[in-house]
Amino acid sequence: MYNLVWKDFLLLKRFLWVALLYGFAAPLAFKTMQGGALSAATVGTTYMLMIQACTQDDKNKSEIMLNSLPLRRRDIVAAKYLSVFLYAIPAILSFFFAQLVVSVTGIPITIYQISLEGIAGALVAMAVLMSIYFPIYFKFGYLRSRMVGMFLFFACFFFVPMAVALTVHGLEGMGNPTLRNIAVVVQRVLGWLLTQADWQIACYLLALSLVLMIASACLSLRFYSKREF
Amino acid sequence: MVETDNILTVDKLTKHFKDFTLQNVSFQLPRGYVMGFIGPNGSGKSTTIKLILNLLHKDRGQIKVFGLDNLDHELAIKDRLAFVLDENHYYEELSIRDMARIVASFYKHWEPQTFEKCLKDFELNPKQKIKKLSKGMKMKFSLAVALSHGAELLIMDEPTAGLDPMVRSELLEILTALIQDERKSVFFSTHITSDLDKIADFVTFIHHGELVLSAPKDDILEKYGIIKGSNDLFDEESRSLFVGIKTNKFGFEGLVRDRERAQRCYKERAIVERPTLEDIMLYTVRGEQHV
Repeated sequence: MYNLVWKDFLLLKRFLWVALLYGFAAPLAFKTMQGGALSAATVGTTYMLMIQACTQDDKNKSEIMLNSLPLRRRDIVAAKYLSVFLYAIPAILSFFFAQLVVSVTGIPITIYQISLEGIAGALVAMAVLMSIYFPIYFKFGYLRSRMVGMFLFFACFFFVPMAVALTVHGLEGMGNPTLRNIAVVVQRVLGWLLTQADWQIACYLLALSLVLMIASACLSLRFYSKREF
Repeated sequence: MVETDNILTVDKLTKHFKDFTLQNVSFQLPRGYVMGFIGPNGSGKSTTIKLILNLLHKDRGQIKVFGLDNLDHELAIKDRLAFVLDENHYYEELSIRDMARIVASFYKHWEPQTFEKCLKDFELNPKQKIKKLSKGMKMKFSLAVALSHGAELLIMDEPTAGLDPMVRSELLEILTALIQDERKSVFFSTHITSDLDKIADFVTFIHHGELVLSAPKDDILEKYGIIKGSNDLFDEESRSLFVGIKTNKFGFEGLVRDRERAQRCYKERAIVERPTLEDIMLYTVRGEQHV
């Protein structure tokens, strides 16, 4: 499995700089998003690298070659999930580097300070995106899953913050009783979360995303083991 | 682990698609031999190879490689076999060296010296990117990878398609050298039957997803025959002798399954010739044809 991860990094060698640059520019570009800036940097970088890796696999139908080698389909699936976490590392590091540059040089820009809670939030956002995207990718292949990926990517940027804003602030404006009930429940959970320590919140979110990813990986494996090439 | 004399056994292999069915295909390849797998385009050759490699899921039948079920022992089997597919599926952006490093990491018995020797023999520059290679060079690279992990069975899907005669000839020479080792076997699909004239020991022929024949090549060429004669020799009774026939106003030319019987039937009145594999394939596919 680790040689598959390494394979993806070899393929992405020339895209890593772009990803690092994006991670560096994201805190400045998304400074109005506050806590969301780290999520935007992480989700953006990992999505970019993940899609590139999938594109390379699709380009010459390389999955035919991979599946003819002595390796299990479950390793191919697991490697894709593991790679995503590794892609998050340069994203977070370059975000941290941008923050360092701003504070050392004294450039008058207010950017979000990295916290454990923020990293957990970014990883959760990334995990949610990948957990939805990968089963579709493993079921239908890269070409047919591309549109879904784009939709999920933009959803992470626009719809999720909008939904969060509605949940937190805008209950009065919500006419639909079902949506209102869901928002009330989410608001209560958020209220409870705010009473917890930062490390506890981070642990809960990470555990939740881990469960989601495991369920997603099981589904992906089920789909991929039935795929024909 | 169970080892048998047959390195590859395909038994009643069946796979249904919407518009094509591979139906009850059976054949065996003994260890140490080369089998040519022939048939026109769309006859089911690639489907059979993909089923052997578990790239497609069979509906019925059994595939045994090295005497082991290809699904139950997939990893062990794939570690001992090599494949060369009809087109390049390696990552074009990578150099030969990087791609080989990736592939090497999956095999238990990768032989770097053998790979280096292959690169040298095939005149491949390890620093060159795969996308810069010609079709012939890509095929040579695939072959270099296939020959560098001590594989006992080499499965090739249309390796000579689209190659110029020089590269085709080189490829066949490499295969001839490879099979000097009597432990190694080659399963080689092609629709260019002349490729098999020199190197194949066995021939399996499929058409419309069904097995036409599978036997030692020399037996096939001994048994089948091409008959040429005037049209008055060709009647309803003799029609049953023919697998395929071509007639025109000057006479007929056809393929018979039993050359000796045809010789007894026509005596000196018709010309009886030894067919080529191409004759056998063409007449079987075309059936009866009037020009």
